[in-house]
Amino acid sequence: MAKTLILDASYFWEEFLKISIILQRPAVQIQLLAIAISIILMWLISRWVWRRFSQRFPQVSAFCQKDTRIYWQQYGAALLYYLLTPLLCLIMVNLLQIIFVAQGWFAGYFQDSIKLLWIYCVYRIFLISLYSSFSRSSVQDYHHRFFAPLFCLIIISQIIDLFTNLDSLLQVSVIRLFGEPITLESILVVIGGLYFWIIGCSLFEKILIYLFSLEIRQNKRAYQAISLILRYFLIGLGTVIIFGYVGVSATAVAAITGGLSVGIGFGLKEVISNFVSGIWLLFEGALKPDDIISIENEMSQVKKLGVRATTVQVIKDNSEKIIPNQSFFTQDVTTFTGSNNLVCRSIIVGTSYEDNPEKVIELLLEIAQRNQAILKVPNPMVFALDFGESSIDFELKFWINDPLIGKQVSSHLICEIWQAFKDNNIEIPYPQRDLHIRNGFQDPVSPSSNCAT
Amino acid sequence: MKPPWQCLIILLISVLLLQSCRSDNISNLDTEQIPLKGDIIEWIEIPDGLTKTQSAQLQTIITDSVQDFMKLNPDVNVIMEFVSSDETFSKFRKQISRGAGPNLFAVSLAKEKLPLLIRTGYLKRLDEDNVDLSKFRPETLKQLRYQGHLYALPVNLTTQVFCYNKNKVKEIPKTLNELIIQARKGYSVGLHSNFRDSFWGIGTFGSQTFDKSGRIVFTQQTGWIEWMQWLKQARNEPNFFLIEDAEILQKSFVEEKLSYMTCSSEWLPNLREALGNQKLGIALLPGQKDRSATPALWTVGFIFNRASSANQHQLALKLAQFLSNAQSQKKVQLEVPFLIPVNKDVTVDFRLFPMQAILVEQSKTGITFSLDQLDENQSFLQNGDSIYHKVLGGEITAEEAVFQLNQAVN
Repeated sequence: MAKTLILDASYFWEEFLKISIILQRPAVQIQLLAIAISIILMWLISRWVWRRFSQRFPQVSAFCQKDTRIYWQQYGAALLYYLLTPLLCLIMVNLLQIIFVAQGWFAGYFQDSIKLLWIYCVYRIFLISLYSSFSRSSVQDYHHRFFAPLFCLIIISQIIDLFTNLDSLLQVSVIRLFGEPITLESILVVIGGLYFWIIGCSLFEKILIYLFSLEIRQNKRAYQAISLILRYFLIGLGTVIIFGYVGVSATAVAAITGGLSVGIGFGLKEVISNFVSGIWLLFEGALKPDDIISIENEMSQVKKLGVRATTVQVIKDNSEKIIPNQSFFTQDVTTFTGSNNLVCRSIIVGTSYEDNPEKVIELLLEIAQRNQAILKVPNPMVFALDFGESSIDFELKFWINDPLIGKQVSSHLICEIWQAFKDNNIEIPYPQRDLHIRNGFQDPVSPSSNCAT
Repeated sequence: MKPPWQCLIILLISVLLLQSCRSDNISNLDTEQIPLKGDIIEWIEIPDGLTKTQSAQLQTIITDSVQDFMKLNPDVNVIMEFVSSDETFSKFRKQISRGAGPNLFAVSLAKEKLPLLIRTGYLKRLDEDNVDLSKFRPETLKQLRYQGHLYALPVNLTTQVFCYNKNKVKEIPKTLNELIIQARKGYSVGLHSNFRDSFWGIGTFGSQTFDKSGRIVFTQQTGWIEWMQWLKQARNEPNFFLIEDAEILQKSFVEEKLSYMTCSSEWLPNLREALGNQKLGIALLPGQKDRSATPALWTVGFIFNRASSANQHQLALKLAQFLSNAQSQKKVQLEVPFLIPVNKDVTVDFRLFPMQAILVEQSKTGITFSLDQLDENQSFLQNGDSIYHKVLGGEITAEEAVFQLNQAVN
């Protein structure tokens, strides 16, 4: 920031005195009074007109109560609703200006009011276009959090500039920090600048993604990851720019961080660790929203990636778990959606020694191929695994492309296998044991004494 | 509208109405000659050509004078603001169009747009019956008038003088012929050839700039032609330089390439800082045997805001009169020697303050343009430069130039 003259806090008092001197002048009082009265009067008239209009055309005027796209007749009503007050005020103030100039009276404040009313008109037209183009709920959010405060800030600064020199006012030193004067401008830029930057970033990120690619918008996972990375990048960049603009002393920052490093090392170790892990995760791309992972032996779906923690939804009970980001670096995490979404699952089933194993394999393959959820490629396979105690064991191995439906598919297959075996008279044996009851004599040499049949 | 807003607006209107009542009361009280009371805003234009130190010095002196006024009137508070000359007019016009801005403003009245402010009705016309004008030098009052009415009070004057380098010059030329002789002897002379700044030579040839009705006259006046012919002739002298750009002229003098130059009194602070009192000398502009040079006099005056309440205007007027009294004027003149006092009671001892004395002496032979003349002759002043240069360049004769100037005026 360019070096400017830093003013003392007494400048406020001096400027206040100047304004009070100016307000003592009848020429000024008359102008301000006329402007105030005309604005109040026009506001009341516009309210009355709108009430009459909405009584007469209730359907058309109901556009502001629904979260639906407005139809063409409602555009007219929206224009009336948003522009009636500023336009009536404009007409009235213009008329007053003409009268004052014709009378040879001072009329400069009318000119200023007209300029401000035009700004208001443009702002209202901008709002109409937003509300008529996008969904009401999303516009309303940015309207109240971003556009309205920004508009108020512009209007307030313009009004202050009418009575005093805003540039000089902003150079007033309010406090001293580390021997450096902190001006009103610095405070406002840090507070206001950061606020508008952070909210503006989310708006900017949406606009950017909207403009650049339809594909990104459709891919929710990519959209969330890109928007998150973009948002933190812009917030970081903005913070650096803002603090650089207000001239935060690098020496002071070094002194603070140096002094606090021990405290940070102990007290905020976990927070910093989680923060760094979060940044690392975002840039590495190891985890993305909607990823299916297994952590702490629970199958979960990633819902939200944050800088400090990641929110996952446990599949088992639909609960949400907030896991500090460093956990992903300190313990094993299984992801089912890393490089692809393919999941391999298997079902083991045994059949009687009486049944033909080849027929069993054929039946199992047929069941697997019939199932819509099972992928054809890689193809399902059946293996005869072992001669079991009471059965020959088979394994049906198959692939699905959604980790979340594994249990459902297995259940379905089991039912089908049971039905198919029943239809084909294939027995699913259960372990059988022959029990021999001894008669009291013991023949230690008899080899059959330890043999169970 | 929500109730708190309504309350706020009603409160605002009430305050404004009460303020109106307060102003009226004060104005009624004023007429009863009670002690001065109230607050006013004063703007002071920082003249061009001042260094930072000199500007700070001038601000201190003016602030001290205003403090003296406040000591005499303890219930009066004057808020001062010093404005640079380049931002003066736009800033003032913007403010005064609203009825805001200063109650009084010390500004150079040579501004071309000042008559426009008067015509628009932004400046207060002064009631001459209520202002003591007898203490002012009569010629200064001329530049304060527009269409016969008084619109300002004078503070000080600026004019042109003849600057020389004391180390180089032994004998100061008193006439134009002596100047030519000096140039022939090898003393380099720089003349500011700008139309406005060449006015001083016209009087040396006996020509009157204005007729009895105050109009600029060219016809039947040989002085204009002779002066232009003299300039043309002087230009052919080897050590004679006609320089249009003020900065180049000053730079050449400071670098001691020139022994003499015509200089505006506003340049003196810079020249004094660059050369020092040991080298910088000033003298009266060379004239003829029985005729003195007639440089233009430019008045710095207080203008008054018409939007001021009656009490504010009364205070502003008192302050302006205080700052132009003999004591204040003398104080300013001693500290800032390039400003010429307008109070005729201010006397300067030549032995102690030679620079101030020369300036006062030179101002006595100066010519003043009234605001009407400045307003009416805008095109004349604008065209004058190009016509002058055409003559000096040999494109047209001096007679043709006078004819063209006459056409520009009429």
